[in-house]
Amino acid sequence: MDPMQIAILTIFSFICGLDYIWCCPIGLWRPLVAGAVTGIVLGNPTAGVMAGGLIELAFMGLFTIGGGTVPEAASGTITAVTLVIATGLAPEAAVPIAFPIGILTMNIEIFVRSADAVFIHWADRLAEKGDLNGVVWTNILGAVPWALSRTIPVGLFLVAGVPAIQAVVGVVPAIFWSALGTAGAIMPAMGLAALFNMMYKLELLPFYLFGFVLAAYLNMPMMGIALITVALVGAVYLIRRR
Amino acid sequence: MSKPRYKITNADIFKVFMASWFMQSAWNYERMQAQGYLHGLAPVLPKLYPKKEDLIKWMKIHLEFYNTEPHVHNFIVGMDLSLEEKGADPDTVRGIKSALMGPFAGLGDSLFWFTLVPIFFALGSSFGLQGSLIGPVLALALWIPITWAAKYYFTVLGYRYGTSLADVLKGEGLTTFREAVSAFGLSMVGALTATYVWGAHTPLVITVGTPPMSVKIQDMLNMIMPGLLSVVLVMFSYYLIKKGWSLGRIVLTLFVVGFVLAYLGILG
Repeated sequence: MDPMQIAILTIFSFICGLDYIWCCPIGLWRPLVAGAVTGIVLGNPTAGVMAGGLIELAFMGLFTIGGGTVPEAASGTITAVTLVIATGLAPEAAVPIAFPIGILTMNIEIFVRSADAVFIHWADRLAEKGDLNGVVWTNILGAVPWALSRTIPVGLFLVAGVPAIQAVVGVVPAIFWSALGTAGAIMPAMGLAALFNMMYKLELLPFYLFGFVLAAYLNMPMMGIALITVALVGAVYLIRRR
Repeated sequence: MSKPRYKITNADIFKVFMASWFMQSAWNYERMQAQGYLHGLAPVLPKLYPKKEDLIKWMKIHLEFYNTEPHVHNFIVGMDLSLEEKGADPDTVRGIKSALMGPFAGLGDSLFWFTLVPIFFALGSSFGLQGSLIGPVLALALWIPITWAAKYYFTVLGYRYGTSLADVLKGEGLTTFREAVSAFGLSMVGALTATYVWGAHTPLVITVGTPPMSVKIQDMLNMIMPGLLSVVLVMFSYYLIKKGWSLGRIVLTLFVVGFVLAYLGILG
């Protein structure tokens, strides 16, 4: 890999970390977007956006609520997409690779979540002096460890991990990589189940069936299904109000 | 206590909105979003409390524990502004913040993270999986304007309607709205189940009868219901979630099942 590309992607992972903790002025850290950007940087936007889309569906529903932690999406996406593009593997193979990296980042993040208390103690001292500007700047600075928790695994993996895996790709039998791809391609089931779990209510089950039937039997594109569902939901609630 | 005499302007509200992006910048286990909360008030606090000892007192109050969902947070800040402008005492402000942050976090999580993010980004993914950059562009074209507008108008509404807004937000209308959004979301999940669990496909072929005839198992499954294996996989994952398995364990299970079945030529 070109060192320039490694540098750009490592900086990009830092920006994704800021976007995440500043919740989320752009939305760069979502796998769909991070995958597309990685693909563009590496000159293969098609593979990037396909892998990103699959990781998006697999990670869907994994959100940090309150103080909980989940596998981190952006670092997993950037590294996994880089790997499949660099090795020429199928985009699906990116999904099972994204998880372990995301879990590594999650563990670094747990450390940051404790360590960042440094900034609030700093702010306490500044508050004693009435230094409001100081509180503002230390608060902004507090995002840096968060962003670094993404940048460190991404940088290490791009510099050391990708070349190592590239070297063994040809040695490992092809069926291993195709099985890895298939395993990746069933993982959206997990993200969809997590979403289903959040929205499910017995009375709303017909809506799940509605979307499923339009896609499975009528092969309607997603945008069409979205629009017709808006119409249906609108109609149902209009009737209910009358 | 000294009563603030400053009148908050639209420009102040806008500055508070912009600063609210940093509301969890230094998030930590100890006091979570406390520092971000104080940062968010930085554009108005010195104007409300020109005397240094008042400013210091209120800075300390706003460095107390705080944690909520970052978008609906702006409602709470807006209410806080209207209270402090009227010269509310620390206990009132503290009470409002700590009473609202929990319920509002639940509201914001279910609306933004469990509903809008999945819908926008799943819709984008459906284009992305076809290799089209329209996917991420579409997702961001929905996410950016809607969340920026939400955070801005939540600040304005919180300030304008003050604490009476809290009652409206806990009322019937919002429940109905959330239910309607969930209905929409479930339909999208159904459509995604049918379309994008790609691996749920079997290449198995069996030979039956005399004269021998080869039958594709997938064709038989499609006759029962297209997307049958996808539904089975999603419902299996859902069952594991309901059983209380951790997400990591489910991911690993799915991976092992998928990998082994694909290796044996049963899936793929």
